[in-house]
Amino acid sequence: MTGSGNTKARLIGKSDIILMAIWAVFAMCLILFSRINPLHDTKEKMLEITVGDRVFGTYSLDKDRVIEIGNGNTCTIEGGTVRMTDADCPDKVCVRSRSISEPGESIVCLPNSVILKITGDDPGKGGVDAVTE
Amino acid sequence: MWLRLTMLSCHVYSCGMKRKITIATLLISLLLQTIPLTGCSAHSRKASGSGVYFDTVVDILIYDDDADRLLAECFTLCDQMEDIFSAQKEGSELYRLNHRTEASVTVSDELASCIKQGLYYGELSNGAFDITILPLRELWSFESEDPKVPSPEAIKEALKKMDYRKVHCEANTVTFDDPEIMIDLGGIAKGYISGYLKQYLKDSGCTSAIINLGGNVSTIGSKPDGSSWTVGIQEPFADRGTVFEKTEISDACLVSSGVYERYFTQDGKQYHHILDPHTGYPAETALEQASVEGYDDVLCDAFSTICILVGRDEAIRLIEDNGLSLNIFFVDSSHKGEWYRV
Repeated sequence: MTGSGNTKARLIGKSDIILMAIWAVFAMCLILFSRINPLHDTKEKMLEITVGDRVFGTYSLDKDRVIEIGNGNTCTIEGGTVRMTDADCPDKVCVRSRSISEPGESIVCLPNSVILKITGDDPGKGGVDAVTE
Repeated sequence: MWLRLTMLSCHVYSCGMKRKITIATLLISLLLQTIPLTGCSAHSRKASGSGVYFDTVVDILIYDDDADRLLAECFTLCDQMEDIFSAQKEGSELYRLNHRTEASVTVSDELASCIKQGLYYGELSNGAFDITILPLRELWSFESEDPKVPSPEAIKEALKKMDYRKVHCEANTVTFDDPEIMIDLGGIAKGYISGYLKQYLKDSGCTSAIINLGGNVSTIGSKPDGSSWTVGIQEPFADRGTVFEKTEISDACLVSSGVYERYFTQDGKQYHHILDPHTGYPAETALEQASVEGYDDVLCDAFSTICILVGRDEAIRLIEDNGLSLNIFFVDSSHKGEWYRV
Protein backbone atom coordinates (compact mmCIF):
# COMPACT_ATOMS: atom_id res chain seq x y z
CA MET A 1 0.00 0.00 0.00
CA THR A 2 1.28 3.47 0.71
CA GLY A 3 4.52 2.44 2.35
CA SER A 4 3.58 2.09 6.04
CA GLY A 5 4.51 -1.38 7.26
CA ASN A 6 2.57 -1.21 10.51
CA THR A 7 -0.75 -1.09 8.72
CA LYS A 8 -0.41 -4.57 7.33
CA ALA A 9 -3.26 -5.81 9.47
CA ARG A 10 -5.61 -3.12 8.16
CA LEU A 11 -7.68 -4.25 5.23
CA ILE A 12 -8.47 -0.79 3.91
CA GLY A 13 -5.91 1.93 3.73
CA LYS A 14 -6.57 5.65 3.37
CA SER A 15 -5.58 5.66 -0.29
CA ASP A 16 -7.93 2.78 -0.96
CA ILE A 17 -10.82 4.82 0.32
CA ILE A 18 -9.78 7.81 -1.78
CA LEU A 19 -9.39 5.56 -4.81
CA MET A 20 -12.76 3.99 -4.25
CA ALA A 21 -14.37 7.38 -3.77
CA ILE A 22 -12.88 8.70 -7.02
CA TRP A 23 -13.88 5.53 -8.73
CA ALA A 24 -17.42 5.66 -7.40
CA VAL A 25 -17.82 9.30 -8.47
CA PHE A 26 -16.53 8.42 -11.90
CA ALA A 27 -18.94 5.49 -12.18
CA MET A 28 -21.82 7.71 -11.10
CA CYS A 29 -20.90 10.29 -13.73
CA LEU A 30 -20.76 7.58 -16.36
CA ILE A 31 -24.20 6.31 -15.44
CA LEU A 32 -25.72 9.78 -15.27
CA PHE A 33 -24.18 10.71 -18.60
CA SER A 34 -25.54 7.60 -20.26
CA ARG A 35 -28.99 8.26 -18.81
CA ILE A 36 -29.21 11.91 -19.69
CA ASN A 37 -27.45 11.72 -23.00
CA PRO A 38 -27.66 8.21 -24.40
CA LEU A 39 -25.37 8.50 -27.40
CA HIS A 40 -27.15 5.87 -29.46
CA ASP A 41 -30.52 7.64 -29.18
CA THR A 42 -29.64 11.27 -29.60
CA LYS A 43 -30.73 12.08 -33.09
CA GLU A 44 -31.57 15.38 -34.64
CA LYS A 45 -35.10 15.67 -35.99
CA MET A 46 -35.04 14.94 -39.70
CA LEU A 47 -37.55 14.67 -42.50
CA GLU A 48 -37.34 11.32 -44.24
CA ILE A 49 -39.05 10.98 -47.61
CA THR A 50 -39.80 7.53 -48.99
CA VAL A 51 -41.17 6.77 -52.43
CA GLY A 52 -42.39 3.19 -52.72
CA ASP A 53 -39.93 1.09 -50.78
CA ARG A 54 -36.86 3.27 -51.23
CA VAL A 55 -35.72 6.34 -49.33
CA PHE A 56 -35.82 9.42 -51.55
CA GLY A 57 -33.87 11.56 -49.12
CA THR A 58 -33.51 12.92 -45.59
CA TYR A 59 -33.53 16.62 -44.80
CA SER A 60 -32.84 18.75 -41.75
CA LEU A 61 -35.84 20.67 -40.43
CA ASP A 62 -33.63 23.67 -39.63
CA LYS A 63 -33.42 24.91 -43.19
CA ASP A 64 -36.53 26.16 -45.01
CA ARG A 65 -36.85 24.65 -48.46
CA VAL A 66 -39.21 23.31 -51.10
CA ILE A 67 -38.59 19.72 -52.19
CA GLU A 68 -39.83 18.41 -55.55
CA ILE A 69 -40.28 14.71 -54.87
CA GLY A 70 -40.61 13.84 -58.52
CA ASN A 71 -43.53 11.47 -58.15
CA GLY A 72 -45.89 14.39 -58.64
CA ASN A 73 -45.55 15.56 -55.04
CA THR A 74 -44.00 18.68 -53.57
CA CYS A 75 -43.38 19.24 -49.89
CA THR A 76 -42.21 22.32 -48.02
CA ILE A 77 -40.12 22.68 -44.88
CA GLU A 78 -40.86 25.97 -43.17
CA GLY A 79 -40.05 27.02 -39.63
CA GLY A 80 -39.33 23.44 -38.56
CA THR A 81 -42.62 22.02 -39.86
CA VAL A 82 -43.37 20.04 -43.00
CA ARG A 83 -46.42 20.13 -45.28
CA MET A 84 -47.27 18.44 -48.54
CA THR A 85 -47.88 21.58 -50.58
CA ASP A 86 -48.76 20.01 -53.90
CA ALA A 87 -49.71 16.63 -55.32
CA ASP A 88 -51.13 15.38 -58.59
CA CYS A 89 -53.09 12.56 -56.89
CA PRO A 90 -56.90 12.58 -57.26
CA ASP A 91 -57.91 12.63 -53.59
CA LYS A 92 -55.42 15.24 -52.24
CA VAL A 93 -55.61 13.66 -48.78
CA CYS A 94 -51.91 14.37 -48.30
CA VAL A 95 -52.28 18.08 -49.10
CA ARG A 96 -55.14 18.33 -46.61
CA SER A 97 -53.07 16.62 -43.90
CA ARG A 98 -51.92 18.55 -40.87
CA SER A 99 -48.33 19.79 -40.95
CA ILE A 100 -45.82 17.58 -39.11
CA SER A 101 -42.87 18.46 -36.91
CA GLU A 102 -42.53 15.82 -34.18
CA PRO A 103 -40.75 12.44 -34.45
CA GLY A 104 -43.12 9.69 -35.51
CA GLU A 105 -45.55 12.00 -37.30
CA SER A 106 -46.11 11.37 -40.97
CA ILE A 107 -47.97 12.52 -44.07
CA VAL A 108 -48.85 9.92 -46.66
CA CYS A 109 -49.81 10.13 -50.31
CA LEU A 110 -51.16 6.65 -50.97
CA PRO A 111 -51.84 6.97 -54.72
CA ASN A 112 -48.22 8.02 -55.36
CA SER A 113 -46.70 5.88 -52.55
CA VAL A 114 -44.97 8.91 -51.00
CA ILE A 115 -44.39 8.98 -47.23
CA LEU A 116 -43.07 12.02 -45.35
CA LYS A 117 -41.94 11.09 -41.89
CA ILE A 118 -40.17 12.89 -39.06
CA THR A 119 -37.41 10.77 -37.55
CA GLY A 120 -35.45 11.37 -34.38
CA ASP A 121 -35.98 10.84 -30.67
CA ASP A 122 -39.21 9.55 -29.19
CA PRO A 123 -42.03 12.06 -28.89
CA GLY A 124 -41.85 14.37 -25.93
CA LYS A 125 -44.43 14.74 -23.16
CA GLY A 126 -46.98 16.49 -25.33
CA GLY A 127 -46.63 13.99 -28.16
CA VAL A 128 -48.56 10.87 -28.91
CA ASP A 129 -47.14 7.55 -30.07
CA ALA A 130 -49.78 7.07 -32.75
CA VAL A 131 -53.05 8.56 -34.01
CA THR A 132 -56.13 6.65 -35.20
CA GLU A 133 -57.75 7.50 -38.53
CA MET B 1 -25.53 -5.36 -9.38
CA TRP B 2 -22.67 -5.15 -11.86
CA LEU B 3 -21.50 -1.95 -10.28
CA ARG B 4 -21.23 -3.56 -6.86
CA LEU B 5 -19.37 -6.60 -8.14
CA THR B 6 -16.74 -4.59 -9.93
CA MET B 7 -16.26 -2.30 -6.93
CA LEU B 8 -15.76 -5.31 -4.74
CA SER B 9 -13.19 -6.84 -7.05
CA CYS B 10 -11.31 -3.56 -7.19
CA HIS B 11 -11.27 -3.35 -3.44
CA VAL B 12 -10.15 -6.94 -2.87
CA TYR B 13 -7.28 -6.75 -5.32
CA SER B 14 -6.01 -3.44 -4.01
CA CYS B 15 -5.53 -4.82 -0.51
CA GLY B 16 -1.91 -5.28 0.30
CA MET B 17 -0.76 -5.15 -3.29
CA LYS B 18 1.39 -2.78 -5.22
CA ARG B 19 -0.08 0.42 -6.54
CA LYS B 20 0.65 -0.61 -10.12
CA ILE B 21 -1.61 -3.60 -9.75
CA THR B 22 -4.27 -1.47 -8.11
CA ILE B 23 -4.30 0.92 -11.03
CA ALA B 24 -4.35 -1.90 -13.53
CA THR B 25 -7.26 -3.45 -11.68
CA LEU B 26 -9.00 -0.12 -11.62
CA LEU B 27 -8.71 0.13 -15.39
CA ILE B 28 -9.92 -3.41 -15.88
CA SER B 29 -12.88 -2.89 -13.60
CA LEU B 30 -13.69 0.34 -15.43
CA LEU B 31 -13.77 -1.63 -18.63
CA LEU B 32 -16.01 -4.19 -17.00
CA GLN B 33 -18.20 -1.34 -15.85
CA THR B 34 -18.91 -0.22 -19.40
CA ILE B 35 -20.06 -3.68 -20.48
CA PRO B 36 -23.31 -3.73 -18.53
CA LEU B 37 -24.01 -0.16 -19.62
CA THR B 38 -23.85 -0.94 -23.32
CA GLY B 39 -25.45 -4.29 -22.62
CA CYS B 40 -28.38 -2.46 -21.09
CA SER B 41 -29.10 -0.41 -24.18
CA ALA B 42 -28.67 -3.44 -26.42
CA HIS B 43 -31.38 -5.17 -24.40
CA SER B 44 -34.03 -2.89 -25.82
CA ARG B 45 -32.89 -2.24 -29.35
CA LYS B 46 -35.33 -0.11 -31.25
CA ALA B 47 -36.44 -0.69 -34.83
CA SER B 48 -39.15 1.11 -36.74
CA GLY B 49 -40.38 1.14 -40.30
CA SER B 50 -43.27 2.00 -42.60
CA GLY B 51 -44.69 0.28 -45.62
CA VAL B 52 -47.73 0.48 -47.86
CA TYR B 53 -49.95 -2.60 -47.71
CA PHE B 54 -53.69 -3.18 -48.19
CA ASP B 55 -53.95 0.34 -49.67
CA THR B 56 -52.92 1.80 -46.38
CA VAL B 57 -49.80 2.67 -44.41
CA VAL B 58 -48.38 0.26 -41.87
CA ASP B 59 -46.12 1.79 -39.19
CA ILE B 60 -44.37 -0.55 -36.77
CA LEU B 61 -42.09 0.28 -33.83
CA ILE B 62 -40.45 -2.57 -31.92
CA TYR B 63 -38.24 -2.62 -28.82
CA ASP B 64 -36.44 -5.94 -28.52
CA ASP B 65 -32.99 -7.57 -28.55
CA ASP B 66 -33.82 -8.77 -32.01
CA ALA B 67 -35.90 -5.79 -33.15
CA ASP B 68 -34.53 -5.51 -36.69
CA ARG B 69 -35.24 -9.12 -37.57
CA LEU B 70 -38.73 -8.99 -36.02
CA LEU B 71 -39.54 -5.82 -37.96
CA ALA B 72 -38.48 -7.37 -41.26
CA GLU B 73 -40.49 -10.49 -40.46
CA CYS B 74 -43.60 -8.36 -39.71
CA PHE B 75 -43.43 -6.77 -43.15
CA THR B 76 -42.98 -10.19 -44.74
CA LEU B 77 -46.16 -11.26 -42.93
CA CYS B 78 -47.93 -8.15 -44.26
CA ASP B 79 -46.95 -9.21 -47.77
CA GLN B 80 -48.38 -12.67 -47.20
CA MET B 81 -51.58 -11.28 -45.67
CA GLU B 82 -52.07 -8.98 -48.65
CA ASP B 83 -52.01 -12.06 -50.90
CA ILE B 84 -54.82 -13.54 -48.82
CA PHE B 85 -57.18 -10.71 -47.87
CA SER B 86 -57.32 -8.18 -50.67
CA ALA B 87 -60.74 -8.51 -52.35
CA GLN B 88 -59.57 -6.26 -55.21
CA LYS B 89 -56.20 -7.87 -55.88
CA GLU B 90 -56.60 -10.42 -58.66
CA GLY B 91 -55.10 -13.72 -57.68
CA SER B 92 -55.46 -13.12 -53.93
CA GLU B 93 -57.01 -15.98 -52.02
CA LEU B 94 -60.15 -13.96 -51.26
CA TYR B 95 -60.45 -12.94 -54.92
CA ARG B 96 -60.28 -16.60 -55.95
CA LEU B 97 -62.89 -17.49 -53.32
CA ASN B 98 -65.25 -14.83 -54.71
CA HIS B 99 -64.69 -16.04 -58.27
CA ARG B 100 -65.20 -19.69 -57.37
CA THR B 101 -66.72 -22.37 -59.56
CA GLU B 102 -67.81 -24.73 -56.78
CA ALA B 103 -70.17 -24.10 -53.85
CA SER B 104 -67.57 -25.33 -51.37
CA VAL B 105 -63.98 -24.13 -51.28
CA THR B 106 -61.08 -25.09 -49.03
CA VAL B 107 -59.20 -22.05 -47.75
CA SER B 108 -56.14 -21.27 -45.63
CA ASP B 109 -56.30 -21.20 -41.81
CA GLU B 110 -56.02 -17.40 -41.87
CA LEU B 111 -58.88 -16.83 -44.30
CA ALA B 112 -61.09 -19.39 -42.54
CA SER B 113 -60.45 -17.81 -39.16
CA CYS B 114 -61.19 -14.29 -40.43
CA ILE B 115 -64.41 -15.37 -42.21
CA LYS B 116 -65.60 -17.20 -39.07
CA GLN B 117 -65.06 -14.08 -36.98
CA GLY B 118 -66.79 -11.95 -39.61
CA LEU B 119 -69.84 -14.26 -39.54
CA TYR B 120 -69.82 -14.12 -35.74
CA TYR B 121 -70.01 -10.31 -35.75
CA GLY B 122 -72.84 -10.58 -38.29
CA GLU B 123 -74.79 -12.68 -35.79
CA LEU B 124 -73.84 -10.44 -32.87
CA SER B 125 -75.06 -7.29 -34.64
CA ASN B 126 -78.18 -8.89 -36.18
CA GLY B 127 -76.82 -8.39 -39.66
CA ALA B 128 -75.76 -4.76 -39.27
CA PHE B 129 -72.22 -5.96 -39.88
CA ASP B 130 -72.31 -8.09 -43.02
CA ILE B 131 -69.22 -9.54 -44.72
CA THR B 132 -71.20 -10.21 -47.91
CA ILE B 133 -71.48 -6.47 -48.56
CA LEU B 134 -69.09 -6.52 -51.55
CA PRO B 135 -71.71 -6.01 -54.34
CA LEU B 136 -73.00 -2.90 -52.54
CA ARG B 137 -69.49 -1.58 -51.85
CA GLU B 138 -68.55 -2.00 -55.50
CA LEU B 139 -71.76 -0.25 -56.57
CA TRP B 140 -71.09 2.84 -54.44
CA SER B 141 -67.33 2.70 -55.21
CA PHE B 142 -66.19 5.30 -52.70
CA GLU B 143 -62.60 4.67 -53.82
CA SER B 144 -63.28 5.93 -57.33
CA GLU B 145 -62.43 9.46 -58.45
CA ASP B 146 -66.01 10.56 -58.95
CA PRO B 147 -68.41 8.55 -56.77
CA LYS B 148 -72.17 8.99 -57.35
CA VAL B 149 -75.33 7.83 -55.61
CA PRO B 150 -76.45 4.64 -57.41
CA SER B 151 -79.99 4.21 -58.70
CA PRO B 152 -82.53 2.66 -56.30
CA GLU B 153 -82.94 -0.27 -58.73
CA ALA B 154 -79.21 -1.00 -58.74
CA ILE B 155 -79.17 -0.88 -54.93
CA LYS B 156 -82.10 -3.28 -54.77
CA GLU B 157 -80.25 -5.67 -57.10
CA ALA B 158 -77.09 -5.50 -54.97
CA LEU B 159 -79.04 -6.18 -51.75
CA LYS B 160 -80.39 -9.39 -53.28
CA LYS B 161 -76.82 -10.68 -53.58
CA MET B 162 -76.08 -10.12 -49.90
CA ASP B 163 -76.74 -12.24 -46.84
CA TYR B 164 -74.08 -13.41 -44.42
CA ARG B 165 -76.37 -16.30 -43.39
CA LYS B 166 -75.75 -17.85 -46.81
CA VAL B 167 -72.06 -18.35 -45.97
CA HIS B 168 -70.93 -21.23 -43.78
CA CYS B 169 -67.45 -22.01 -42.57
CA GLU B 170 -66.58 -25.39 -41.08
CA ALA B 171 -62.90 -25.99 -40.30
CA ASN B 172 -61.20 -24.84 -43.53
CA THR B 173 -64.18 -25.28 -45.84
CA VAL B 174 -66.29 -22.30 -46.87
CA THR B 175 -69.70 -23.18 -48.33
CA PHE B 176 -72.01 -20.74 -50.12
CA ASP B 177 -75.79 -21.25 -50.50
CA ASP B 178 -75.86 -18.80 -53.40
CA PRO B 179 -73.27 -18.56 -56.22
CA GLU B 180 -73.62 -14.75 -56.37
CA ILE B 181 -72.55 -14.15 -52.78
CA MET B 182 -69.14 -12.47 -52.46
CA ILE B 183 -67.14 -11.69 -49.36
CA ASP B 184 -65.49 -8.41 -48.40
CA LEU B 185 -63.40 -8.48 -45.23
CA GLY B 186 -62.66 -4.73 -45.27
CA GLY B 187 -64.45 -4.31 -41.93
CA ILE B 188 -62.18 -6.69 -40.01
CA ALA B 189 -59.11 -7.58 -42.11
CA LYS B 190 -57.03 -4.76 -40.64
CA GLY B 191 -57.92 -5.89 -37.13
CA TYR B 192 -57.19 -9.49 -38.04
CA ILE B 193 -53.77 -8.61 -39.48
CA SER B 194 -52.71 -6.34 -36.59
CA GLY B 195 -53.80 -9.09 -34.19
CA TYR B 196 -51.81 -11.61 -36.23
CA LEU B 197 -48.66 -9.45 -36.13
CA LYS B 198 -49.19 -8.88 -32.43
CA GLN B 199 -49.43 -12.62 -31.78
CA TYR B 200 -46.31 -13.27 -33.87
CA LEU B 201 -44.34 -10.66 -31.90
CA LYS B 202 -45.57 -11.96 -28.55
CA ASP B 203 -44.71 -15.54 -29.51
CA SER B 204 -41.23 -14.29 -30.39
CA GLY B 205 -40.85 -12.92 -26.86
CA CYS B 206 -41.33 -9.24 -27.71
CA THR B 207 -42.74 -7.23 -24.80
CA SER B 208 -42.84 -3.71 -26.24
CA ALA B 209 -44.15 -2.68 -29.65
CA ILE B 210 -46.74 -0.49 -31.34
CA ILE B 211 -48.39 -1.15 -34.69
CA ASN B 212 -50.37 1.44 -36.62
CA LEU B 213 -52.14 -0.34 -39.43
CA GLY B 214 -53.90 2.35 -41.42
CA GLY B 215 -55.24 4.03 -38.30
CA ASN B 216 -55.86 0.86 -36.30
CA VAL B 217 -53.42 1.25 -33.42
CA SER B 218 -52.37 -1.88 -31.59
CA THR B 219 -49.83 -2.18 -28.77
CA ILE B 220 -47.80 -4.88 -27.09
CA GLY B 221 -47.01 -4.29 -23.43
CA SER B 222 -45.90 -0.78 -22.54
CA LYS B 223 -42.94 1.40 -23.49
CA PRO B 224 -39.47 0.27 -22.34
CA ASP B 225 -39.57 2.77 -19.45
CA GLY B 226 -42.77 1.13 -18.20
CA SER B 227 -45.13 3.93 -19.16
CA SER B 228 -48.24 3.33 -21.28
CA TRP B 229 -48.47 4.17 -24.95
CA THR B 230 -50.27 7.43 -25.67
CA VAL B 231 -52.66 7.15 -28.57
CA GLY B 232 -54.44 10.10 -30.12
CA ILE B 233 -57.93 9.90 -31.61
CA GLN B 234 -58.31 11.66 -34.95
CA GLU B 235 -60.65 14.66 -34.79
CA PRO B 236 -63.57 14.06 -37.19
CA PHE B 237 -63.49 16.30 -40.28
CA ALA B 238 -60.25 18.01 -39.15
CA ASP B 239 -56.92 17.71 -40.97
CA ARG B 240 -55.53 14.23 -40.78
CA GLY B 241 -53.35 13.84 -37.70
CA THR B 242 -55.32 16.36 -35.60
CA VAL B 243 -55.71 14.87 -32.13
CA PHE B 244 -59.19 15.21 -30.59
CA GLU B 245 -58.66 13.06 -27.50
CA LYS B 246 -55.81 11.10 -26.01
CA THR B 247 -55.88 7.78 -24.25
CA GLU B 248 -53.22 5.68 -22.55
CA ILE B 249 -53.14 2.00 -23.41
CA SER B 250 -50.92 -0.98 -22.64
CA ASP B 251 -51.27 -4.21 -24.59
CA ALA B 252 -54.58 -2.95 -25.95
CA CYS B 253 -55.69 -1.57 -29.29
CA LEU B 254 -57.72 1.42 -30.43
CA VAL B 255 -59.74 1.65 -33.63
CA SER B 256 -61.75 4.63 -34.90
CA SER B 257 -64.54 4.57 -37.45
CA GLY B 258 -66.52 7.51 -38.65
CA VAL B 259 -68.52 9.26 -41.31
CA TYR B 260 -65.57 11.62 -41.97
CA GLU B 261 -63.21 8.94 -43.30
CA ARG B 262 -64.57 8.78 -46.85
CA TYR B 263 -67.54 10.68 -48.17
CA PHE B 264 -68.80 12.70 -51.08
CA THR B 265 -71.45 15.37 -51.45
CA GLN B 266 -74.23 15.20 -54.01
CA ASP B 267 -77.11 17.68 -54.26
CA GLY B 268 -76.08 19.19 -50.94
CA LYS B 269 -76.21 15.89 -49.05
CA GLN B 270 -73.21 14.08 -47.64
CA TYR B 271 -72.84 10.37 -48.34
CA HIS B 272 -70.32 8.53 -46.14
CA HIS B 273 -68.75 5.14 -46.74
CA ILE B 274 -70.26 3.08 -43.89
CA LEU B 275 -73.09 1.38 -45.74
CA ASP B 276 -76.10 -0.14 -44.02
CA PRO B 277 -76.65 -3.64 -45.47
CA HIS B 278 -80.35 -3.41 -44.55
CA THR B 279 -81.10 -0.25 -46.55
CA GLY B 280 -78.27 -0.18 -49.08
CA TYR B 281 -77.52 3.45 -48.20
CA PRO B 282 -74.98 5.08 -45.84
CA ALA B 283 -75.97 4.39 -42.22
CA GLU B 284 -78.32 7.02 -40.77
CA THR B 285 -76.43 7.85 -37.63
CA ALA B 286 -76.24 10.47 -34.89
CA LEU B 287 -72.52 9.76 -34.52
CA GLU B 288 -69.57 11.34 -36.27
CA GLN B 289 -67.15 8.79 -34.89
CA ALA B 290 -66.72 5.86 -32.54
CA SER B 291 -63.30 4.82 -31.22
CA VAL B 292 -63.16 1.40 -29.61
CA GLU B 293 -60.51 0.41 -27.09
CA GLY B 294 -60.04 -3.24 -26.13
CA TYR B 295 -57.78 -6.25 -26.18
CA ASP B 296 -59.12 -8.09 -29.22
CA ASP B 297 -58.06 -6.34 -32.43
CA VAL B 298 -60.75 -7.96 -34.60
CA LEU B 299 -63.48 -7.12 -32.10
CA CYS B 300 -62.34 -3.46 -31.91
CA ASP B 301 -62.25 -3.19 -35.70
CA ALA B 302 -65.68 -4.76 -36.20
CA PHE B 303 -67.27 -2.97 -33.27
CA SER B 304 -66.17 0.53 -34.30
CA THR B 305 -68.10 -0.01 -37.56
CA ILE B 306 -71.03 -1.61 -35.70
CA CYS B 307 -71.27 1.51 -33.47
CA ILE B 308 -71.79 3.75 -36.50
CA LEU B 309 -74.33 1.30 -37.96
CA VAL B 310 -76.48 0.74 -34.85
CA GLY B 311 -75.87 3.96 -32.90
CA ARG B 312 -74.67 4.64 -29.39
CA ASP B 313 -77.49 3.17 -27.29
CA GLU B 314 -77.74 -0.08 -29.23
CA ALA B 315 -73.93 -0.43 -29.20
CA ILE B 316 -73.90 -0.10 -25.40
CA ARG B 317 -76.72 -2.65 -25.15
CA LEU B 318 -74.68 -5.07 -27.28
CA ILE B 319 -71.65 -4.58 -25.01
CA GLU B 320 -73.69 -5.22 -21.90
CA ASP B 321 -75.68 -8.18 -23.28
CA ASN B 322 -72.55 -9.91 -24.58
CA GLY B 323 -70.28 -9.01 -21.68
CA LEU B 324 -67.72 -7.36 -23.96
CA SER B 325 -64.72 -5.65 -22.40
CA LEU B 326 -64.59 -2.43 -24.42
CA ASN B 327 -64.23 1.28 -23.78
CA ILE B 328 -65.67 3.58 -26.41
CA PHE B 329 -65.18 7.26 -27.20
CA PHE B 330 -68.31 8.47 -29.01
CA VAL B 331 -68.38 11.74 -30.93
CA ASP B 332 -71.94 12.85 -31.70
CA SER B 333 -73.11 14.94 -34.63
CA SER B 334 -72.70 18.15 -32.59
CA HIS B 335 -68.98 17.28 -32.41
CA LYS B 336 -69.07 16.51 -28.68
CA GLY B 337 -66.98 13.61 -27.41
CA GLU B 338 -67.82 11.35 -24.50
CA TRP B 339 -66.29 8.15 -23.09
CA TYR B 340 -68.29 5.07 -22.33
CA ARG B 341 -66.24 2.85 -20.04
CA VAL B 342 -67.12 -0.66 -19.01
